[in-house]
Amino acid sequence: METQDELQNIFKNIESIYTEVDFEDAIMQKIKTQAKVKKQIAKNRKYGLLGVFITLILIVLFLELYDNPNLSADYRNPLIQLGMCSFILVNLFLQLETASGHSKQRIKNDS
Amino acid sequence: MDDQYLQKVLNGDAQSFSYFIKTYQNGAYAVAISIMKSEDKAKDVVQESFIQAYNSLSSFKKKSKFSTWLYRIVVNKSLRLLEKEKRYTLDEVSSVVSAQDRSNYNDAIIRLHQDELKQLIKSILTKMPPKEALMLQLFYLNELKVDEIVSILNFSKANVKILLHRARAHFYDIIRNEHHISSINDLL
Repeated sequence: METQDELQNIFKNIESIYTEVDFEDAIMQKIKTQAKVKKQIAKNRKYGLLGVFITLILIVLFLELYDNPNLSADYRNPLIQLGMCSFILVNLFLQLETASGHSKQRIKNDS
Repeated sequence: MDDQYLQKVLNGDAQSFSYFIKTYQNGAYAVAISIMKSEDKAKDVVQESFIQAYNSLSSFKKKSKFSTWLYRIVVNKSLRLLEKEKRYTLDEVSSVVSAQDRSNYNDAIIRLHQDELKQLIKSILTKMPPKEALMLQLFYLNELKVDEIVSILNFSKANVKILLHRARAHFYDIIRNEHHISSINDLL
């Protein structure tokens, strides 16, 4: 106990032994960047969901058109079929791009 | 005061978080540096800890003070990093310094100028094992009570007291063994 008090005497006049560092700007900047990235991620997610929704509608619509006996002659045309598939694939590609951008932003944010 | 700013941040005013940074940055930095022994790594730990505290502020239950909660984050992050780097060691005290010698050292230390004293303590804490240096930092420099240290470290009260006792013994052991601490030897 005596030793403890002696050490307390030694330490009591010292406020800080390390050079003070101001972290405020750096941390607040990071917090702001993080908020921006979160907003962007939410926006991307919204676009992604919209993309999935549009793709599903397109698939249903194209299947419906393909099955329709009145329109089948036109829609069995290989060029139109190719066009439909390409349209869906482009849509899926755009969604993947959005998802990849989303991941990149997350990694950037984490680092 | 903490509660008032806490509420503001939770209500979406991110700028109010700067109050916590200004108030606790020095304490958190000192805690981190006493474990990490490197200014750059301590700076990284402090920044990450504040960001983590900001992100999980809603889970802060106010069972302890904000500073206790923040220091717990800093300690956990520092110890985890140290374990990852496999730098954690627990040096043994070579032999216990007698009460008479301790008293002589204390008399000599008290006569040091403020800058020399700061330099001496900084140098001793750098040479001490992380947990012991942390004990002296929290107990003497951050002036926390044993109960607060218990909640920061999640150790039992007995463990904290043992570590504190060992830290004090190590403090004097380093003074005795480090012959280059000329400022002390000159005064003895």
